[in-house]
Amino acid sequence: MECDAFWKEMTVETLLVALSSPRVIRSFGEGEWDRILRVARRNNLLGRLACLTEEEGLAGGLSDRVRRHLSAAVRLADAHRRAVLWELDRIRWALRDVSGPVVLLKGAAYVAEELDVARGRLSADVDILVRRGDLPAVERALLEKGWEPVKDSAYDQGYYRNWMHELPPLRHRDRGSVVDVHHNILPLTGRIRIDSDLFFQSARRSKLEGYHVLSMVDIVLHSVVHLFQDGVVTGSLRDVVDLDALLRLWSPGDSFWKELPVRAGRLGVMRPLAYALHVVQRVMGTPVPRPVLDVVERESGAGAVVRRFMVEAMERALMSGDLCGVGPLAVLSQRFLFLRSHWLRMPPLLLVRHALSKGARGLRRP
Amino acid sequence: MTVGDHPLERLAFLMARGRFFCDVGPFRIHLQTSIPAIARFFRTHYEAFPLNEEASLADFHIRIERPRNLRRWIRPQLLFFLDDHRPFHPYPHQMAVPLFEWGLNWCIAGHAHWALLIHAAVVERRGKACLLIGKPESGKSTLCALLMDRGWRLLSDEFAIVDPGSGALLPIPRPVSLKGRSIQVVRTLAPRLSVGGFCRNPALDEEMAYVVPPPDAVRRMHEPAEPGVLVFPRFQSSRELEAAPVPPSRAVYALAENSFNYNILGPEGFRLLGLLADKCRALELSYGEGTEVLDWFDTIF
Repeated sequence: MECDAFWKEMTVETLLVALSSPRVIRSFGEGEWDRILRVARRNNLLGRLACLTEEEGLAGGLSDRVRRHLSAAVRLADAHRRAVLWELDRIRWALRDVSGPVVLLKGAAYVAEELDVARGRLSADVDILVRRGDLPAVERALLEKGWEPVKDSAYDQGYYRNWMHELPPLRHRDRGSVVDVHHNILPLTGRIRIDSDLFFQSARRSKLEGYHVLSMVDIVLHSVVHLFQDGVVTGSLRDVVDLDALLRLWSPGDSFWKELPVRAGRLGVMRPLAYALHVVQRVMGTPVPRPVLDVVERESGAGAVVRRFMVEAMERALMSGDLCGVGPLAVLSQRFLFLRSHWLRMPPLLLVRHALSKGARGLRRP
Repeated sequence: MTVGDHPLERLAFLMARGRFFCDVGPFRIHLQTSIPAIARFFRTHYEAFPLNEEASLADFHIRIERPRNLRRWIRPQLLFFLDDHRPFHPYPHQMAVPLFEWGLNWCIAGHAHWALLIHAAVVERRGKACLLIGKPESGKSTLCALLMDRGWRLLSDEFAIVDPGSGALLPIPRPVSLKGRSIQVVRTLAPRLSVGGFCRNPALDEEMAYVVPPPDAVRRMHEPAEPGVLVFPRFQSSRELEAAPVPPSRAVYALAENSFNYNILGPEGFRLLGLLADKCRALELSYGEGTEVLDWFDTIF
């Protein structure tokens, strides 16, 4: 795409500053707003920005045009929250005969627990975690009550069932809403294996009747793992913002920072935690106690060089969420992280098979 | 400055160089394209709309361009972008104008949740708006064009935009789209209207054209109108004219069904739909060929 100087200045950095200290928006001119609205929308963060602006009482000084975009985003975020709650109501109804616990993950958990991180979050999909033994019953119940597989090719079905940590996504045939049913936090094929029993043991009852949520530290660690293992790189600025909000929310608690490294060690995710804490501290200015960082770094086993490389690559990929002018380094970083996430997910032979299968399908498309 | 103040060459230059900002109703559009058909269409159909070369903030940044592969040359296609997001599959090159018009519809319907949006044609007389709500083939665009010719003010061919604060309808007097037989009907019954932007939709094998919005409607595009009547038209060949009242309880459902975003507005959307249904007389209109139906519209206020 052609970029004149006007668009070049568009930066993710401005957006991140606005999210962590909304007052700066008072100094934005029309041109800055034009860029920030688009960058925020592109990174799925406009709802968050709009809610913060409204809460801080900053909307008054803005032009009508800007105010309209922000109020549209607030309404959309509200609509998503309502949709999630309604979806959870329907899922509870569909799964009423399933005996095991149903644990809410990510956005659904934030909404159910009314956490700050849910404010303005744009996402209407629901992720749930159930015991592996309950999986057939859960799937049967959902299929009976109107959900249908989104991916119905034999390869996709087999891929999810044999290798992944979740069922193929299910979509409700009338509402179009998607539910992802997990039985673990990470794929079955990956290097890092997490015993999902550990999650169930520490899960607690949700504020929302009929559901469970992970413990505080597990919610944070899931967010960390999601940030680093997920193949989709463009959405991840939002994941960093989520992680920042979670850490800020719980960091005043006495035991939170004590428990976090202990739990990360127990789950075997010390290394992603080390990377994530570095990135979130740099990018969002999240306060992370120095001693915690030291412990995590020491126990992660990642050398300083490796860590710097990873953090650098992450940061570049995150900052590339601009509207144009994605530099070659950012592209490389994204590709590297995409490959890496797959590498961690699958043994090499399986990875090759997966790539061939996906590639072949791309060629056949008309 | 309006679009019509510039010669075609200048418009084409501004569009190609990304300096084309045009106010269309409540929206400011930044359009970047070097497709000649689109510049020509703006010259004829958006002539009276204000142009703003100094703008720094636009509601929608739209780009329409040719793909950078074989389909640039062989059976050429066009791509529509909002920012760098491409919401549609490529379109055949001859569909440039509908691609822009439909693309803009998509932008509005998917983003302008600051207002309640209803799929309707809207015309106004004596400060009161008449909403024409119906499925495709119901004749709502045809009626809209013919009423325009009879002196009704065009508010919109596609969107009833309800301002949540005042409950009033905000105009967006864009070109009125005609398809198939209705093109000939409008040209015969309203020869004063100018119709252009012809193209053929290969998917439906159907002719398409657009009626130029009257300059007066465009000049008054920041002047809202109070909702007055809801008409649910249904065209049927050689059908006798018949208008039956619709109770508010049923009107509110019909409005909801035709709304793009009342579910997103939530309780507020519900309130606004109720307000419309309460304020407006609602009528189901069956009609056939002829101008009798246009005379009927003269009697509704």
